[in-house]
Amino acid sequence: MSRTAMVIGGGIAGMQAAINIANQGVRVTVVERSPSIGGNMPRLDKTFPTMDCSMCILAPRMLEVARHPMVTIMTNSEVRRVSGQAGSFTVDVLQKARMVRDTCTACGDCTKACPVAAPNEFDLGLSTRKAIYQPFPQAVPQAYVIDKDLCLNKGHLIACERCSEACNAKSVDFSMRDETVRLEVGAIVVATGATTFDPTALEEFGYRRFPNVVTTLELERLINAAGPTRGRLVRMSDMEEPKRVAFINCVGSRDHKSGQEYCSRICCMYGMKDALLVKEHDPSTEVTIFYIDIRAPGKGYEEFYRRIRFEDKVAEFIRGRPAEIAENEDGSLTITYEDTNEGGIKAKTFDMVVLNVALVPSNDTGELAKILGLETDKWGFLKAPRVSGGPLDSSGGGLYLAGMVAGPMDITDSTYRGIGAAARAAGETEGDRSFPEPPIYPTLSTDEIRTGIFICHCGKNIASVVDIKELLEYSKELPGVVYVEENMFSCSEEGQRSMVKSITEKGLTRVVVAACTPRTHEATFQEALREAGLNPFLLDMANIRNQCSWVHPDGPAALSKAKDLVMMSAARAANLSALDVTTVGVVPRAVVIGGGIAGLSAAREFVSNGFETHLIERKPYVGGNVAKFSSVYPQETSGGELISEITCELSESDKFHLHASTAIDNVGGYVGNFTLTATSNEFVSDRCNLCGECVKVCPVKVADEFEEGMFSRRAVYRKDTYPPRYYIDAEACTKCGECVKVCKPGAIDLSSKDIELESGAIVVATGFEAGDKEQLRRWGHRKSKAVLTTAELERLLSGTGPTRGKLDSFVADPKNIAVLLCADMRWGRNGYCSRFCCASGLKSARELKQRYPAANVYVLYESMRTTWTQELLYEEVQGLGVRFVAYSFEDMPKITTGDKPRLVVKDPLMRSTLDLTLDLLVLSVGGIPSHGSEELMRALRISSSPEGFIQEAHVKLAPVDATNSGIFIAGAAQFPRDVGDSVAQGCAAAARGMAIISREFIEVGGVVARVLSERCAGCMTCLRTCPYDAIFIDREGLAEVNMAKCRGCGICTAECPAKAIVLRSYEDDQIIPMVDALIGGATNGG
Amino acid sequence: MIVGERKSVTEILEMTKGYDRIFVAGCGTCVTVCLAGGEKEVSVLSSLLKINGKKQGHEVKVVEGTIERQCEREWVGEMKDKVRDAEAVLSMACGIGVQLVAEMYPEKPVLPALNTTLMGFPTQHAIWLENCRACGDCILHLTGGICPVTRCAKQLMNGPCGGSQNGKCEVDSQTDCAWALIYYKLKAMDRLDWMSKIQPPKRWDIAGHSGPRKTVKEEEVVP
Repeated sequence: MSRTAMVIGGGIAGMQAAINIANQGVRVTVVERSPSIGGNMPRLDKTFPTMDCSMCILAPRMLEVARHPMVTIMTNSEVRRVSGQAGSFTVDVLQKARMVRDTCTACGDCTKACPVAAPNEFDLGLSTRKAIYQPFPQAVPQAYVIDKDLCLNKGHLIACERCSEACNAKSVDFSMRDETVRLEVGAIVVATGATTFDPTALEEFGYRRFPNVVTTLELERLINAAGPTRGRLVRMSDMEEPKRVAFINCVGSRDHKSGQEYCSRICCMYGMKDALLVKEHDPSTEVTIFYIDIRAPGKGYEEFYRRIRFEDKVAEFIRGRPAEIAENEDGSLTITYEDTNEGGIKAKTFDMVVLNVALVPSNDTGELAKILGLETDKWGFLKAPRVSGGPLDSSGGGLYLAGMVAGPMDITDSTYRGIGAAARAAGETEGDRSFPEPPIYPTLSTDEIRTGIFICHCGKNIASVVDIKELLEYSKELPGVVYVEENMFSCSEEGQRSMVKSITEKGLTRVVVAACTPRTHEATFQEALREAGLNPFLLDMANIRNQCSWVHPDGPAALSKAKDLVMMSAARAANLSALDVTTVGVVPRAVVIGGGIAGLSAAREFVSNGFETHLIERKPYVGGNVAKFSSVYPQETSGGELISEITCELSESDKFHLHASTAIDNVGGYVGNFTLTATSNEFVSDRCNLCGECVKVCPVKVADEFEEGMFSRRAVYRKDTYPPRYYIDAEACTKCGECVKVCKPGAIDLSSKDIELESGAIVVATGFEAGDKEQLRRWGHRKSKAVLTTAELERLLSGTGPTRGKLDSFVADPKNIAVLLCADMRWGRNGYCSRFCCASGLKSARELKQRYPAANVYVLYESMRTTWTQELLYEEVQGLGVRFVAYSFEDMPKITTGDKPRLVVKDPLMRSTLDLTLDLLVLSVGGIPSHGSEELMRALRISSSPEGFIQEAHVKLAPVDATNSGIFIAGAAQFPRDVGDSVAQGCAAAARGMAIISREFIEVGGVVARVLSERCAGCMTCLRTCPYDAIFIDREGLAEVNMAKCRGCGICTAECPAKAIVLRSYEDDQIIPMVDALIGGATNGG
Repeated sequence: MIVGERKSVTEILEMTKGYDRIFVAGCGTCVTVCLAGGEKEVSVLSSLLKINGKKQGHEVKVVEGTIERQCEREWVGEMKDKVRDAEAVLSMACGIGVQLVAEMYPEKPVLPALNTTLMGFPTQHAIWLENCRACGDCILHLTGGICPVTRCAKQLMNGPCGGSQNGKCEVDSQTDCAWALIYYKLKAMDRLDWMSKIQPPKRWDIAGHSGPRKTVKEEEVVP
């Protein structure tokens, strides 16, 4: 029996889940209700904070799903019945008749013939479509579809059949009937997403009454080059370009009246991105953003906010929630609002108002929940009952949650939750793993140059600027060119199919694709070559979009440059040669570095999928920061409980090996075959019977890191953590041997051991350090006993902590308590927002107010970033009578430490100054990169991002991949995040790792460096400059390249003083012809 | 190894002025490894000469070639066709290579493209430290493997001068005092007694201060 799984919903979360389930050797079926996969992302113009084109980064992923031999896509399909339980579900899927067979070539003749038009849901009704249509040009599958409700043939009342007659491929088939398909699957991932809130009911904003009031999603379509206005931003009343545009945040979010008291989490960022797009469209446009708080909690998000607001001054920010929008005679709109920063009721007039709307559950979530027997939360999102410990687990066994079906989240979060759910789901399936046959790399004789040039319109992106016809004519005449073709979207399924056909039919031996960037699309086009039986490395791409049509608005000049680019590509293509790819075996074992909750979660997934897993932890115990938490919001269990849930499971498995008190010394090898050497100072063995005699004789006293340094401990000590034994702090231990003498079971051995481990994949989960001590000095931390961090408070409040949960020795009968948010983040040397600290600060405020109801508790905040349901905690704390005082970074609160700290803070909102003597000041601290992570990143040869956390390969679509193959990131090592997110990311990192170690081999080769040994002087330059440690010196003293490690970056090639290294496909005789062609035949007189 | 660095572009252009056929000759040994005169540097310099020629309005014909070692007659002999066709040879070898080429092709002007700077090893990639002056009488066995002839500005042989400050040299505060290095090295080896062995006055005659030296290995000399 082979393993099978199902993913319901084909948006970004579902696609990521499907690819990653399939890559673990599990067959997966994607059930999508609409006619194409893709979800919401195809509608978006750009994605924050990198401003990548949304469709462009998505399209290759959609094709990957479509092409994956282990993935079956069922569109127009709905799950109707589910029976059975985890491990063996029987699912009935209703596949609605498409009325178009998959022989459809997507030529569009049928659409032209169809007489019926209706609002196009893809453009949110801003354009029309026919009854037979393609949802959007890059749709997967590409086949058109008939809207049966609209089609005149419905019930055969009228025999129209114009489409059928127009179809040359004879693909329209009115005899197709709805079909129910029964599938047996081991696990199900639910990824049906969310939708935007319809603000019609909020009458004060006049949506649908005033034509110039639109939602953010509508704006995305209006601004998109492939959208209904072809990228011209206009207002609906007169089709004029607006000069003054307002954004109103939190429409339907944080709003009891419309039923969503939660924060929709992504809209602040999304709105700022749209503001930037509007501004880029026409820099003279005045953009205004009405906001309550700006919530920018994510990697690079705070920096994006600062750029939009302060550095580039893209928009004016007004703090206040507009009361009403009124329409003026000229169609302009006047917003009445209270400016809560400056005070007073004000009015301002705009040409267009954009409502930044909330996210709400997709329409049929409730019905699907019933079919699946799952619980929903009060708003209708699917519930994760253990939201911190098991964020991907629904209320039903074997059913997992990915993406926005469980609540609003951005693309990054949806992605790693999709990947994480893939690990959970694959672990639930039973049977054999199956893998597709390794792809063949044809090494056809390619001496004859028969070049084909494929020119992409990219919808309007290229075609609206560059004269494609003229470019085609020109390309025909280039040397070696025997065929030219144009495509609406070369990357669409239709474009790909046509490319494969042309390569085969015309006998092409070289291919030039004149389109966009190889960074996102090279793999896609290479796949087409391979499908057509051509070696995939016989491809060159001319970037006539990013490097031409996007940056040169002048048509003739752009055409001239496009010609040059295509000419150069043709010159290179003629000199390309077929490259070979070989395979190397894989070690089926995983290493996880760091035993916090993210690392433990990753280890659990590896182990439950049957892989031997070694967890390396620097400290003598696992649990990381979470083990210290008295309670975890919002699940409200203690951190220790969350950790022991996982360690209980792991300790039962013989596949799990913990190496505590162990530090990594060196990492060698490459993806599939890493070798790690480490030093273990695990001095206490599992023979320890917890008698405690050792502690009594230990003469060393040091600060106790588990208690945040507030108390001291011996070098031998014990914590309520895993493994359950006494620990010896090797750094502090003087090796006096007293403990050894008194240990009756003989569990102590004070010698270090060397460990060597081989593994196929590495997960780095080294977490964060709570609080930046340097920054905290400003507030008198450690100078006064009355100044505590939230991390310290967690220990003091913990029932199993050093004070058994009592605060008496720190604070007695307090009158005034303040909790300071952003105590160490978003200013000084930490420019970023740490994402979890608002909630942890509020949790502290709640606890303190409940303990000391008579005390005045103040929360000092610069910006309240309680996203998603943390907003409810914010409301709850407000309800307890805690007072909230805003401050600004220009005028920071002042703390004078004495016996009791004195606090002076100016509240810009209340326009008053607060002057208090505090009994307790709690500093809500964020996370900084953990100590030693820099050295570890160097050893692993992975990059760091500017804040010092680990850099991911792609912020949106590869958030758990590090920059070196085979190494994955989990949890706060990548960026500070809350417990649930860390667990989800741990699962995701494991899924990515399992995609490698569940296979027997991996491919190596292709575009890698090659040494011409007769030229090599053995100078070591390449060895010293290679960032991936891919070069070694052979027995003859000459350089050699390890193909598995080489990433094809080309640094060695450029540095070699003897020109003895070449990068395959980028050799001098392939590059110089491009330059010669340009100089010899440039069209613009160059 | 012998380390060199390329002369400034201005100086090279001044030197090559008036020559329209130039042979740029690289050396595949020391100067390749020290990133000054290998195949890649030859290409870069040749392009530069061609571009400059175009800027001056006339075509400069530049021929490139890198041989294994410019300090051996047999290898230099292989260059003869390229040398013959050129008006001048721009050698990217060390001073030794330039001289041998000049000797073997007496009719051609041979121009040095590099300054030969030192003999040493890289402390990190692309940074070389001078370690040896070829003094002809090595005492490294007594100084913990640190050469006072090269690394002491005053070439003192019996301990530091009064200008040794916090382990640095008075001549340049960025330079380590060689004798401080020697002291700490010997101390770590527990061999400080070696420092008290008095060194007799050094024979500077064999250190190159009396004209060119010659080394002969009698038994290997082919009659």
